[in-house]
Amino acid sequence: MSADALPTSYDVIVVGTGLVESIVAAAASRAGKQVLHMDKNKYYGQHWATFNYDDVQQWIGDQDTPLEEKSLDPIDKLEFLTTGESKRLVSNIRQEWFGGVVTKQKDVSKNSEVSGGDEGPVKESLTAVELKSRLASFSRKFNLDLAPKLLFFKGPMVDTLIKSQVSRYLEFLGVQNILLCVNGTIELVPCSKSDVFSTRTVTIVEKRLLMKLLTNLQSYKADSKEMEEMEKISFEEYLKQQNISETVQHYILYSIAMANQETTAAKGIKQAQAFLNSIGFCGNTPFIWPLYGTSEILQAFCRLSAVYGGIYCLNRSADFLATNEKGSCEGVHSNGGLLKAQHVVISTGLVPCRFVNREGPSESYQRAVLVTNKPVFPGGKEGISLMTYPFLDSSFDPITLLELNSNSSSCPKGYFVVHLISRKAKQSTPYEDFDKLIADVFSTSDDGEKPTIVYKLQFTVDVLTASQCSNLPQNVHACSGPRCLSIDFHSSLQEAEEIFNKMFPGEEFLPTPESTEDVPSEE
Amino acid sequence: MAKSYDYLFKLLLIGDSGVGKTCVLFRFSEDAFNNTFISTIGIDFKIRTIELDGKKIKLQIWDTAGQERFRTITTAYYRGAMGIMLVYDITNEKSFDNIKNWIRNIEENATTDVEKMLLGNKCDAAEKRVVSREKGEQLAIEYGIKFMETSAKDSINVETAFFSIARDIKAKTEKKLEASNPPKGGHQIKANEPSRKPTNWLMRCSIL
Repeated sequence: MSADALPTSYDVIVVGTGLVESIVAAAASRAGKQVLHMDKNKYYGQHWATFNYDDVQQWIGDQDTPLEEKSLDPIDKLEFLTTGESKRLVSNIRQEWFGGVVTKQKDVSKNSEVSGGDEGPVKESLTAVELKSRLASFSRKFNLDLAPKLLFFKGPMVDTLIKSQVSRYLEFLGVQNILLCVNGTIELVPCSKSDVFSTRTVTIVEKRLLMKLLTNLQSYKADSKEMEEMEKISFEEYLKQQNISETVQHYILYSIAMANQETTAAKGIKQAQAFLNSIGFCGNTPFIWPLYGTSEILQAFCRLSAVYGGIYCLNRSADFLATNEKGSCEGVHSNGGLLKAQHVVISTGLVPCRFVNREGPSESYQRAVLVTNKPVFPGGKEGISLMTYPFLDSSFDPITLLELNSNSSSCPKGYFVVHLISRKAKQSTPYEDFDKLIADVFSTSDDGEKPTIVYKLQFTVDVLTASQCSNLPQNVHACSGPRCLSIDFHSSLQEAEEIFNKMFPGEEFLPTPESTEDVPSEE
Repeated sequence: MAKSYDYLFKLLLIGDSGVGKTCVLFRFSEDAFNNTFISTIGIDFKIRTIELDGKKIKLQIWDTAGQERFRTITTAYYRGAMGIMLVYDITNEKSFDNIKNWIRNIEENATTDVEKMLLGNKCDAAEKRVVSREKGEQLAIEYGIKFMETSAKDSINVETAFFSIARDIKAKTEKKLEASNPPKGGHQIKANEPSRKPTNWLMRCSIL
């Protein structure tokens, strides 16, 4: 069999392996459509990728290479529109290494079978230079996410994964701690019944009020008159009317509803409901984390597509969109040849620039990836923590902090990976808000309880959303990048389903496979 | 509920397109052969439970889903794999040469202590052979892994090969268990799980 010859005609060509693109590819293959899924990178995920340490260095290097300009003259009444970024979407990349005390690593390559005698972790103090080479030597033990995200246990993404059986390719860990950091103090937010019982930050009287309020929040019905009223006030105002202390208001506003001062009460209530509905299934928080990182989710959808005949081609770019005189798209031009398709699904970042409105409503966000040596909240359960860091007296948006440990396969034992996400504040110096959080939560010298940062990577992402693309040929469908300001996958899933329904109205979106072998359960 | 098996091993098949990975899988899981597979479509994984030293071992064997064709195997494919069958075709030199690349791919993506085995498939087609048995043996020695020539078509050594890799993984697993160092992992989410009803604590708050 000739392995390298690609068929030249498809129902759908998907360009880019972001999450939305991958879900659409899976859904189309599942509906029996012939799919070609390609990506110019050697790896899956684009801005959704999960990298080991060496890959991160490579990725940083890639962002510095100038964007190539290419063009192709019209042939046979076909016009070729150049795909690709006109400007890099990732900017302000900075990385730094610091000295610190870290857990000494056993040589895992040898003697891994006879690691019986556990003498406990040995600590050693390393300089920044030593740490830099240490991290490189454990490169593969790191799974660092460009766009870390969580799933609500009873959310639409989990429903889709189960229904489509994509869940069989994935493993998850429950998030253990929901934290809130106000005025430099980190507190565990009570989310479950037992949490509310045991918390010492809330008085008995308040516990009763908190319970009552949470029950109340769940009773609001969407589209009801009550909810309509809630559009008119902010969630913060609503909470202020509830006769609860400021501490409890903060718990609900920032942690449970994951809202900010601008959020309307209606939206805040909806978000709190999503949170509360997912509690009690998998530990005391509503969230689960995809083991090995966010990119696993999109790769799992890609596998489903492949199982149903989707052809996968990484390291190959779709250089041009071919459009005919009627303005409709005939396919993509790749590697010197035309690949025809009924529909082209393409990442917003690769949409030819004539269709992109860069000035449109932007969703830029700032990211930091920290490698540290201790958990931010030693009083919590061992495992993944999600913390909100609001700014009560400045205009910065709350920062979301996600801390992963070695159980989540994000880093070697004894290390922690901390992700920071915040909206890019207009006119502010980049990472000014992160600096404040870092000063509060982390330490530069290893003397106290606070964790030390040994590695810090910061970058800014300009997300292009599908709504910023206009006048596209009707058979070209743009897919937004990761919308990092919401912690879950909901908006991406919705977008993928909308694209699928537009392409194939009446077809079922990711139905359950007829009969397949069951993944045996461990229990 | 009691488990219907003692161990569950995840195995992978790796190798170039057309070497017969899916046929090997079908021979082992269903004792069937079908040479009309154009390429792998619709095959995710197969399960067969075998018995070794009185222990029931459930083998879950994953196919590449055709993603090997343009070397686009997801890193996710390698997660949790305990054994990998590297397959080449003895009538196709290139598939043999590419084993080195596949091993590199495994080293980059699978766990360091994953059990590997080299299979030279299509050994029934003696008249078309281009890769000698010795060459296969030599390569396996180089990488310190086991080697067998197989034929999915004539059912030669397929059974033996899977039993052999299962035995090696079992020995490794038991050694780890003895050292009370069981592997940790995440959990899968499923429909119809005997799901514990959510403790709807909000409704029961009257006891406070």
